[in-house]
Amino acid sequence: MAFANANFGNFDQRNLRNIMDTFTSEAPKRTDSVLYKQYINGSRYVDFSGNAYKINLFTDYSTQTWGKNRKRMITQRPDGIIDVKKQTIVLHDWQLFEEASQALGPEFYDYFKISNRWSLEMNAGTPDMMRADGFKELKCKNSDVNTWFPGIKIDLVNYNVLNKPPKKYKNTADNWKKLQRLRANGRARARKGNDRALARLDMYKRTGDASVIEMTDAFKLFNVSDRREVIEMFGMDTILASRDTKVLDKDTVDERPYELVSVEIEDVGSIKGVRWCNYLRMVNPSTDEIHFEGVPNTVATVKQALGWRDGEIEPKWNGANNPRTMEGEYIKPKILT
Amino acid sequence: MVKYQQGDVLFKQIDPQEFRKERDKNLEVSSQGRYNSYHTMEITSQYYNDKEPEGELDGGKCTVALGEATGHHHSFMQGSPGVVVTAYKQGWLNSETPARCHYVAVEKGDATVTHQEHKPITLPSGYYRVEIVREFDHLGQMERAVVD
Repeated sequence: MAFANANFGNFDQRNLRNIMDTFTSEAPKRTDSVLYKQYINGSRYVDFSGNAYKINLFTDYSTQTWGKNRKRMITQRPDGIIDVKKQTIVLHDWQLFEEASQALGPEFYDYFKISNRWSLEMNAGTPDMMRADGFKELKCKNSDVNTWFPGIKIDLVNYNVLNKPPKKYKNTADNWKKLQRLRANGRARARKGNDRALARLDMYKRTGDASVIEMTDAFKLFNVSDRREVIEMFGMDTILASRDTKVLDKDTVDERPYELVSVEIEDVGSIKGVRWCNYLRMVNPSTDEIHFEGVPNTVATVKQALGWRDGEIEPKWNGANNPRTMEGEYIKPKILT
Repeated sequence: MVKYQQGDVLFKQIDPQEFRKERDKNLEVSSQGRYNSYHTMEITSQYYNDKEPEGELDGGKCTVALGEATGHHHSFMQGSPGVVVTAYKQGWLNSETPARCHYVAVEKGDATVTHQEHKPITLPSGYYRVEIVREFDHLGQMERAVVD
């Protein structure tokens, strides 16, 4: 068995064809074997071992001799297998995609790009809550496969993906993309709503015509000072009376009244077309003006809402199928003006 | 923890040692021999009343947050004789946040923070982390610092 502890050449020369040629020339028989260590940075590497027929790939994490996996042996299933005769590669570890430009060459990286997508959540704390698990998104130039899955088989001649992802992986990816689309649409609607409400407010300021302002602008404007102008114009009670509302909790902190209100607002993205959203209604202690600010639907009391607002209370993750609870305690300010 | 609140700006008192540790982090060299620029603390403005203002930092006013629509600002403009208020920014600052600093050091006396729409509050000598209260945008499904 021959050993080598060097890269396959400089970055520009590095590609799967050169790698396969190296093994074909140096280990032409099935009984031959050579080992190459391809560094991907100063410390991480991928081991290539095999011959002119089959090359096994092991990432350094698989062969590490430290940490909790130190008892793992190199006799385990390889992280990637190149079939030299059939010109295919099967990958069992997504990290090889991430390290592709260094380990497998820039040409391979040009065809496949992997990105980590974190889990998403929408409408948390409501019956309409939607959740999508995270996944590893794969962008393939020559294939419509959109997710990483263990055992992905790639043709090394034209870089096509030769097998299909299992249903579990495909559904996870499709669900995530659907939720991401809904979220992006929601944000775009919010931005547009803010822009239009701002334009109406601007028109009112220029012309003095109050009829251009809509009551729902109180929910659409991002800026609380602009929002306050709309609230002053109509009155908070009138705005709330125009919509379905529920008072969830009332409390007094330092002789100042607070109300946690759930308001039904239109949402074309949701299944029912409307959505219940929690808002905290409060009074500016210095000017007695009413303020109205959104809080997550996971808060149930005024104190929780105040604590969340000040960054002292956070929703606690209780698993994908359980509602979130609030964790932390509200600290009353020594002075509040 | 002791906190003071003026409208949407929170002043959370922190331990002087914790503050000094944060401030001096930029002096630490990492194991790779580099300074950590993310932790670099820069003075953004300063207020003092025992001498004439000088230089870019303008010793006449120390602004900690600025309202983009109204132009109103939370600023230190008064204090006990000899007080020095220094506002520090840590690393990069998100351009979308109305905060102008992350920490405020009130030294050698008490200082008063004022705002056009809120009653002034007097902070005793100490070190404070400055935070902006947040709100949840139900239409956009995201949380963000309150802007005014």
